[in-house]
Amino acid sequence: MSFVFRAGEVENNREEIIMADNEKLYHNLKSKTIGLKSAAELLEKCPPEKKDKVIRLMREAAQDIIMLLTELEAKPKS
Amino acid sequence: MDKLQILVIEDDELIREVITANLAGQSIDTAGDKATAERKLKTGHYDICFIDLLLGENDDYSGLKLIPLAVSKGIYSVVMSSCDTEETISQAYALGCKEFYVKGNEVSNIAAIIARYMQDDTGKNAQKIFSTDFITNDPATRSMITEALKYTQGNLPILILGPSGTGKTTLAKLLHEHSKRPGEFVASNCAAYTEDLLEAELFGYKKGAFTDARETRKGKLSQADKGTLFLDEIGAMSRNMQTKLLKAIEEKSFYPLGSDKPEYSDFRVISATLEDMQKLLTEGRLRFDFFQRVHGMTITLSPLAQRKCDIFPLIGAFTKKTKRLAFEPAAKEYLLAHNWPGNTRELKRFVEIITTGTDGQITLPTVQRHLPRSEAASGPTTITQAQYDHALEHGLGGALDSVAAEIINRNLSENHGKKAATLTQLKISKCLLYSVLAKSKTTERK
Repeated sequence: MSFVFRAGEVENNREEIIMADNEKLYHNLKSKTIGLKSAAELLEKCPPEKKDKVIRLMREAAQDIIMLLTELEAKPKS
Repeated sequence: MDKLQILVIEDDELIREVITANLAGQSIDTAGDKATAERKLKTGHYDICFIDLLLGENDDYSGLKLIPLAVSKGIYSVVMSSCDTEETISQAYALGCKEFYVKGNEVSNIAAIIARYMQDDTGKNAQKIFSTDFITNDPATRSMITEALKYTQGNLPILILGPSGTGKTTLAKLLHEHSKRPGEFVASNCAAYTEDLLEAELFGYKKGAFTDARETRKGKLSQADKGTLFLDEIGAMSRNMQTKLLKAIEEKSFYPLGSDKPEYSDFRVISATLEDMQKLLTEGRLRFDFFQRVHGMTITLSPLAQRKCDIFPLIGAFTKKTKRLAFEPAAKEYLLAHNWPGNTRELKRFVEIITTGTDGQITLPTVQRHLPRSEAASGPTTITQAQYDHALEHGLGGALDSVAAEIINRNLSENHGKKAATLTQLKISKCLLYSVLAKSKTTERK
């Protein structure tokens, strides 16, 4: 994974880290799957009043993952 | 031990839920975007802050920009990210975060972080200090005291400023306790004595030094050997007395009244006053060389009216060993609207009165009876010192513009950037909204 440093933009005397679009896609995918895994671990001990909400959020995360995968498939293979 | 106040900054609702669930038993607050996080960090009080690095779909590490703000508030900052590259890790640590963890193993990671926080001197001490020794939830006061505690172990003199009843003596004791100086904390109120009596009080005297000196008596300077000498109300000390004390502070030696042999004492000076130091210097009531000797570090305590978040924690502390009090909502509002001219001392007296004379259930009429209407503030808000200073610097117009911009930006953030909602809720013109947005963009670019 590589980072692009935005030329000329310096904050607190540090160069700002900018993530390339492609890397963002992979990051979002990683983040969503990690969230899903952590939520699955939580679900078993989840109090009943919270369970429905967590399941709904997990469904949404799963849909996001499908969208991200579709986007990845559509990208030109290189 | 009180609950830890924790802020979770995370844009993903599912991960927020996971983290919150793993922090069960603590007091949790959350922020889903950078603007909300900034507002909460600026105004709230937190012990620990979990920061996600990417806040939003097209975000460029705005979480990194929140670290300095959290650190400046003395918050134990923990970065959580699935983006654990060398660049992000080193930058997060360089900005002051305490821990960086990779998302995905929340159960064990979060428990370990809390355990490490409690073992960390800063965290444990802060928790104890601000919930028992000097009760405050005010971020600015906490930050100032945390900073001051870093300097307690040297000999640097400390000057505490603030209105009467704000806790200057309590703070001085706290600073002494953290100094690790083996000697005693010795306090003297300079306004309580005439010049002659203050000299005898501070320097001590030999038997027969003056008519009533029937026996030799040790002065406060000697008593404070290897400890701390706390001089309250130094503005009341005469210039002559300041000269004598200045010499004693510089040389660590002095002559008790009636003695021709010097005494030595290794004391550290903490002084306090409710008066304006600059005015005292201008009016010549305070010698400049004496001022230089006592003001190594200056801490200014705000009046209670400017840190109303402390009112109920203080009431809780004052009633810890007595009858607990339950305030009805209207009574709470009245207390928050009160100006508290006597500060913490007035609050303590009020609590003593109502715990004695009531059954613990406090109604509005009870509060009104003990806090007369004339002392209550005219409105629900009071301007802060920063706002007042801004008005002095930029004029009233500039200050009002700044307040308006702050309200508009906050409302926009709460409405997730929906301008139409802000226009309706704040009843403002499009022209004003866009001028504020343009100004904010210019400031961001700068």
